[in-house]
Amino acid sequence: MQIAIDTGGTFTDLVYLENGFLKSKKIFSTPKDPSQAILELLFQLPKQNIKTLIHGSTVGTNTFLERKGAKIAFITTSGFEDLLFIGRQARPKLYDFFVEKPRPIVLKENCLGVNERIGSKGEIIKSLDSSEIERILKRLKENPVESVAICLINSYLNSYHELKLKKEILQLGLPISISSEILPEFREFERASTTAINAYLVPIMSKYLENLRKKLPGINLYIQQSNGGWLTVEEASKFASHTILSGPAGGVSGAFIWAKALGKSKIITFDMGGTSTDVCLIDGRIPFTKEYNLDGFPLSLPVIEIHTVGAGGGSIAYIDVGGALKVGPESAGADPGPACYGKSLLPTVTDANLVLGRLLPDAFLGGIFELQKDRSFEAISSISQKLGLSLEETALGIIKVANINMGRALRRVSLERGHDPQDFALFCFGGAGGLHACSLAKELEIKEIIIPKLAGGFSAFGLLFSSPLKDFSQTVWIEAKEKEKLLKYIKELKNLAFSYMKGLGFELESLSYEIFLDMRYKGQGFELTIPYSEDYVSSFEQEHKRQFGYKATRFPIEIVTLRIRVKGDPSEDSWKIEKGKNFYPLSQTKVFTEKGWIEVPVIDWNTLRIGESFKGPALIVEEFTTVWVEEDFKVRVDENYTLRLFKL
Amino acid sequence: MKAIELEIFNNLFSAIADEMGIVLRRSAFSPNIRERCDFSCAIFDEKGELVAQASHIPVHLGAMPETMKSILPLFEWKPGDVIITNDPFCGGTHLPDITLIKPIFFKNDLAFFLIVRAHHADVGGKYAGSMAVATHIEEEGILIRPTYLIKEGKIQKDFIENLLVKLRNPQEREGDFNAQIASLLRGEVRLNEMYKKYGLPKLKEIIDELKNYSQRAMEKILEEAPSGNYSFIDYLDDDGLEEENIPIKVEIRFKEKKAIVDFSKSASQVKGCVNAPKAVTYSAVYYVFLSLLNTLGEYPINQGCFRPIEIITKPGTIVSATYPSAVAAGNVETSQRIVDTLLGALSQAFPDLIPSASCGTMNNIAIGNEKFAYYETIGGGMGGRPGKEGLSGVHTHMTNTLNTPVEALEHDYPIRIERYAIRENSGGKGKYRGGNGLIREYTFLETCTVTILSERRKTSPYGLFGGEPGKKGENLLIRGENKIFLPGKINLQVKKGDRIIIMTPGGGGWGKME
Repeated sequence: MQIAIDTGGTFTDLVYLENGFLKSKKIFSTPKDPSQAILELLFQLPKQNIKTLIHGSTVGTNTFLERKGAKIAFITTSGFEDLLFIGRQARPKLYDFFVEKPRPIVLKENCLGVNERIGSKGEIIKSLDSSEIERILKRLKENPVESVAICLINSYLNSYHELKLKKEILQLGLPISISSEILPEFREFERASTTAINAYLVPIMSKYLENLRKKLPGINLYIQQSNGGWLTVEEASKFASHTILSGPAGGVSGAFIWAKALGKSKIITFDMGGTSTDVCLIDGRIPFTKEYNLDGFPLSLPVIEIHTVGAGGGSIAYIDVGGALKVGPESAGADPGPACYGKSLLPTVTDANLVLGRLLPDAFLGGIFELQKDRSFEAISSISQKLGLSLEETALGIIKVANINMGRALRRVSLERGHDPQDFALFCFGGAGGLHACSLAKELEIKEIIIPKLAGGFSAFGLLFSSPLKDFSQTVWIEAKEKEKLLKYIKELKNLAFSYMKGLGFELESLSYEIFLDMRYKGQGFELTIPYSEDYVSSFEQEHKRQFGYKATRFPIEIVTLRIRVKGDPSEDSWKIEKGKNFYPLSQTKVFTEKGWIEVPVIDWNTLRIGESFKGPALIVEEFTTVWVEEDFKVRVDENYTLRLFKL
Repeated sequence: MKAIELEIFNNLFSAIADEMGIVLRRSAFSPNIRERCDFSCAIFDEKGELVAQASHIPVHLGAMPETMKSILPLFEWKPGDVIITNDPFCGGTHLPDITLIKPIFFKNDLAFFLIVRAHHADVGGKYAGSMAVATHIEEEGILIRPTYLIKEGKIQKDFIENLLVKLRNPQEREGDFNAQIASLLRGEVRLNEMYKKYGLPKLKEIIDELKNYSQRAMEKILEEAPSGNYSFIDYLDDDGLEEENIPIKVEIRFKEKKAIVDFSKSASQVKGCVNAPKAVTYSAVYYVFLSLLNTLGEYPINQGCFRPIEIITKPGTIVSATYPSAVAAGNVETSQRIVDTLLGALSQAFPDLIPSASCGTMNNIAIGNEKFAYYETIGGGMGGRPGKEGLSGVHTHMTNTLNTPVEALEHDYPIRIERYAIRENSGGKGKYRGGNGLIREYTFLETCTVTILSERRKTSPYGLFGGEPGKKGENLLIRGENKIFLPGKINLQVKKGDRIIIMTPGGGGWGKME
């Protein structure tokens, strides 16, 4: 049997298939030792033969955010020892006398320069002498570190010196990350940062995975990566930087699979949690970016392109000095949580929803945790008094301001990239999204909302059906018209990729691949990633026109970087959602809207039949989520109890 | 309901300005625009008052209200127009900053103006990069007086062709103009969507509210200053031609909820290129007060912020230069010194909120020959701050451009970077140390002309409350065995194999060392 476990900040989720039905389990995470929660979940499973576990983990991300990574040495071309401290020379905020740079991940004294130089055409200008290598080895023996990152200037064109250093330093028995293997692409700071992040995480990640594997004898363990696919424990230990964002990536893969089953290939995912909201636009394929920023440091690997904003159910509302109502980015988090959790009087988005009657105090988490509505009233009234508005108007205002923040994220991935949101369905998962989906859809003139009935554990669902995946890239700097050269480079990179995968134990017949070209008009600074096809030049021109509004016909086009993505077969098992147990009686409640208080039926999602349809307004409740269907939407219950909401 | 709408509309307007910036950056050709983000986008209302801006470069943004004020009465605005200018004496900054302005009409009503200003890699003139040590504006490059680039939808082909032939890299310029126009068009689409949704009267009403809101916030911080007069004087090293230093003097008077900022006792304009057009001075003042406002929280930047601030300059002085003075460095160097004088004065009124002097120069270097023109700036040390050390190796105050990756630069141009490092021990000592400057070392692989425009080579960035000053900057030429000290401002020819080393100043320390 194949199972998937996603370790999140608050919950650890398990998803698996039993007789074709998707089953999920959820328990609180155990941040000190994440494997505890995993073992506990496995213990709850009926005794079965677990063959494969696909695991998404926050170990890498948390280690980095808390700066608890390994003590590393950073080796670079002499003259550039401060590369990681200078960065791009800019400060993160403009009008702020007290601005800070991101917290460093390496000590300055462990940044070591070596005398060598590769030129801008890959030629060796100054060769790397053995005396230099001796000096570095001596230094590393005297001042021991736990992991080493190497990034030499122009090594993306010629890796000879990096490989030579790696070979010698391996004698010391240290894990080594070299930039020409991690990211053979131009832009030294981005490459150095990515390499250093990797070195910083490798010892912690490999220890965690080794420990986990020991506790799970006989199970094939695979690790989810930020590109949406999984790889072996050995790979994840070596390329720990690839595991950042694996949870959100699982969610997006899950949405992609679920929507595909409904015949939808154009969706915008919307995952609203307690402190932040993730969105991602899928136009037939899951998009990736090379410009991810991890707490101030660029991580330039292909990462599923997820845009995050600091607005969620726990976002705190307040009034600023100029008299405007603000919501977030500060969040009450899970602890102390919104006022209605009973530990604080912080007025949050969740409290506003409670005041408006959109969240039912006795239907939260399946009714096991009753929300304290009176505390929400008290918290929101502290704001409404200052504004001179009624409690309900204030709560509605908080929702509107939170929506504008989330709407901005949706605009960023759609309109700003030249996509019309009207062509897409809003795919909503995560606990809090169902309360906001209708008004966000209206804001962006989106006509359809899809809500899967698996709010708890959607990331784990994505993991269960994802495939093995590995990205390979190489900066090539050629003109787009040099097709022969391009084909030669493609062949080389493809051979490299396939022999690498073979080395990992994959059957070559089970692998497929996609080629992408990072292209631009010669002279531009940003590349567009274009799927390779016969007429890749016109594909590029069309994409440029779509995103920026024009084609620059007189400019030559260049191919900067070549990418190959190698993919194995995903699990082919079919899946179905089981009808759940009823937990909430059919009833009426009052909800506050622009029109004032209105009567609304409360419907338990578990009582809905496939094929059924009805008109809003309605509150549809389930153990882990509530959907607020506004009156200008029609609901249709589709396959697997998926809710499809259509704008009337 | 006002409180709610303020936040919603502020968000909508600033999202438009941001999106204009994204379109420009991602499709532009000048390294200045695409890699270094040396550009700015803003929305003005029909009165020419600032509604929203994207946070890019402080020295541009503060100047744009002046640009708008100067240009608004010059034209009979029609739908489909785009005006182009780089005139420093008509609300501009320096010649490489080319500004495009587009009026936005809803039906027949003029409702908004969109502005995009970007630093082009070259606008002609005697030296590549158009950032030379000159004595007359016409030597610095092509002066484009405000004129039509597009008139009622018709591209002015003759004008463009005439302009492009005078520039070093016409194709790149054309690409950048395309990107700037694309950015304006994107802004127009978004404003039209807002208009359809809310209608013009509603938008006008909310814009007035937004301005009042920002004004209230600015007044709040000004109220906290003990009323009185605070003055300070600081000096530019020289004008690149004569030896003497050039004093800039400011007096700030706080009265009720207002600040009056008076520069009238500053030096007269000079022969060299350090003269600042009035718009640059306004930028520096706005930057300082907006940063002060930031200590209260984040507020929308619009015309309302500027209402409680009155600025007095005397035409013909170093802070309000008139035609035909040379101004290339006014924008990049003098602007920084104006900030230093303002901070010196404000530190007396707000001792807990004001940092010591930062490196005080953008360390401009322009390199080129008949085949290319390249320009970059180098960061330095930030001044120590009350409660925090200054940052090292970073751009401060009026600029925030990114560096060009060494690998991109070496791939594109006949230059090799040998060293790019923090300049240790250049920050001033103090209770909170000043940040360290940077060292950047260039080897030239072909004969080129080089212009350096730098400051704080003779005077040091000051410390406050007992902190020591930061170390001065140094410029060196290495030719064979010879090491030659270069002045702060110079045009020179370099040969293949020559090296230039720029060492940038550290920030001043804050407070006495214990």
